[in-house]
Amino acid sequence: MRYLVFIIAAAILIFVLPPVGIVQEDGPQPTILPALPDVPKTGHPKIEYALTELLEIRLNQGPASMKSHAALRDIDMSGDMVRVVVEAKQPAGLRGAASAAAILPVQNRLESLGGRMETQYENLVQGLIRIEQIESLADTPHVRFVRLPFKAFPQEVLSEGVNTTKATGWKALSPYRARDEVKICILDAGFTGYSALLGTELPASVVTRSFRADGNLLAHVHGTACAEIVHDMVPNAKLYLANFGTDVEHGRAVDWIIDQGIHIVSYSMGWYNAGAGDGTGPIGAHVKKAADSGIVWVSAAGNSADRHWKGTFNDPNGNGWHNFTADNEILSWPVNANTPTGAFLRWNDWGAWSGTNYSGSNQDYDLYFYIWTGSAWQFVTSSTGRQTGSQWPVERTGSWISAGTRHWGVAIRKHSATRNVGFNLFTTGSSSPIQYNDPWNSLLIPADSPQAVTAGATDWNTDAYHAYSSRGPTNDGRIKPDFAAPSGTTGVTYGTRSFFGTSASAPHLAGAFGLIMEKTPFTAAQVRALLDDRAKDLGPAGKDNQFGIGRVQLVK
Amino acid sequence: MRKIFVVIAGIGLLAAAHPSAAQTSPDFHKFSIGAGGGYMSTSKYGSGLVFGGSLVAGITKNFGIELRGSYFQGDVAGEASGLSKGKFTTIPIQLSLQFRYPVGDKLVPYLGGGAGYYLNDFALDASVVSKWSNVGFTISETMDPGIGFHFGGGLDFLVVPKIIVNIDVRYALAKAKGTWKLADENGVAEASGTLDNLEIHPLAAALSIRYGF
Repeated sequence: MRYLVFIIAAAILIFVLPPVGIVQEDGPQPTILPALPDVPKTGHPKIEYALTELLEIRLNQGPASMKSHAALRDIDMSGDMVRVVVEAKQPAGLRGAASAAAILPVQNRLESLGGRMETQYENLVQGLIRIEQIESLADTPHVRFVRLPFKAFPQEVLSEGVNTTKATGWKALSPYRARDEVKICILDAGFTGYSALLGTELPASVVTRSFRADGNLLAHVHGTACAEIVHDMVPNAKLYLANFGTDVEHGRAVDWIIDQGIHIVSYSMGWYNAGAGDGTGPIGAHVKKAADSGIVWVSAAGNSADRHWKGTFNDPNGNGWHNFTADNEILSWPVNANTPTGAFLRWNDWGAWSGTNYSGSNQDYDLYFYIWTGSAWQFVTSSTGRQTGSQWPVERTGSWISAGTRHWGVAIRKHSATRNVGFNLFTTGSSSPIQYNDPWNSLLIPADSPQAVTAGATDWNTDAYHAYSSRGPTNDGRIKPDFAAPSGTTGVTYGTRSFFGTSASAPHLAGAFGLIMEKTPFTAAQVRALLDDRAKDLGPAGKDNQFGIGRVQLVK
Repeated sequence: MRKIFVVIAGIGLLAAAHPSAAQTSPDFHKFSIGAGGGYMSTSKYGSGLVFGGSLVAGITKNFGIELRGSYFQGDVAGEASGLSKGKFTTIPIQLSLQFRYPVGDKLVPYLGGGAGYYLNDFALDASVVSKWSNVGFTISETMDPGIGFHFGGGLDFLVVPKIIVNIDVRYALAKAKGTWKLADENGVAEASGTLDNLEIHPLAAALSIRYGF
């Protein structure tokens, strides 16, 4: 009998108590935040909040704190100067001498304040200035707004995709009454190690150009991997490798691409807050400009399907904070140690797009950022830019990092608004899908552009949809992506590590365009029609917001 | 082959119908009919053997008219020719005016020139058709008949009564037009066009036997 009692007791211990050596993670708990007092915002209405915050830190805590803050929030500094973009009050669409003349007053003011212009594009001036001078710069009548540069995010070897897309038969063809050569530009963050691949994984020679202020073509390895795939798909194409760092540099790169007579752009980059998600915005305008010049712009959909939430502001308890659920006002996600993370919030109050800018938002919402300590949420930072009528409806946390595996979270607060807006929230760095994840409408910019041919990601071997691959529709209701294309392929650039992401899909799709254009006399529109017809329909019948019209293949 | 037969038969009928066909003297300014072969080289559409027949009618001692039909087939390499890889076939029907200068009783050298109508045909190589078919396309190229102008010279040599051996060399400026078409098998995309300047420009040397009457 004593043995029986012992066995039962042991069984209870085994099944009820946690095993020795396994520490149960104390994950985030649903949280209702305290209401905050309504304090009027004092920041300059013509300066982005992140710059206002940087200025306050510089004035209150000194230059060392400012620099460490800038490093944390991914703000570029050169010595004591911060890199900014000045939006001049000038008509859009100017090029060359007319453009340079139009922004001259802004350039002069920047330089009179001890700053330095790095580059310019249309009405945008990118330059360096001491943060203490930022308000003087913003007060200049010619200045519409001063902000940080927008930055794109790379969307993370004979590629297996060549066979998957049935490109092999095409490669055996001789060009038939085709254009003399096909020029494909890989527009990306950088091309580390490209020169070692010339003549093997890349053509023997390529055209290179860096539009970064520092001229560093080798700033990132991502573009090299993309170029490798394009070359696998279209070995005889002439490749142009161009990189950029900011939206201003991006504009200049697009003008160069047009001038070079490029046929196809392979674009595996994505922007979060650079537009309304309906194809408008400055980056979308660059794509439109390229497309209007006859260029096929192939864009990665983005890898944000499992890092995206969308919803309408909802505050049933009236404390000013959005309720993600009835008992939770903080959306969280796990992040591995030493992995940068952050969040981008935008909402549907952009106003009219003029071709250069949005008329702006007067619905003022803010974004708050937290880290889970193991027992409670700890405030990290907030993004409380002003939306008083002319500013964009966006907030961003910047990039943060922790030495340990942590949950991070965001809360959305209504500061001053007359209506409950609809949000798109994107996070970076999460190791698994974020809480309340909504994969739909998760396209990055410019995948939302009607002029872009957008590629989602499917497994090269199984055609399975990759969960991270951003989905449509666009915020104006169009079906995207346009195609699915192989991902998870291997190449020399990344070695034994497979190249996952829509970043790998876009160059496969760009290569499919390039291969047909190289072999035939068909126009870009005809090639698009062919690829539409030949795509392998996956998912729901017809075009859908995951696979587009289907996985690209060159032969049915 | 059908075209060849028609041409040769036509020439034969023309000759047979003439009233002086029963002539027995090897009189060069009368009629002769013959057949032969030689070698032809085009500017872009291959080189090879050429066969044909001709009818010569003497108008005066020094002038004659020749009607000649021939057949040639060449391989097209497909590079810078305006056509893809394939077989080019042409049947030139040439009408010439000859200036004949008899030397003694057996030799008549001559110079001549005239115009011709070129019945052209082009067939794409099966491998080209197959490669495009493998990727879901049909491909076709055609070559239309064309006009050419030629000049050259030759020598008639009377071997035995009524039998003449003829050597003829001529060069023609001949062009033709054509069409091309590449079409998706599902009718999604199609590209087509005309080929406006297909230069044949044949240079031919031929040896023939003619029967005079």
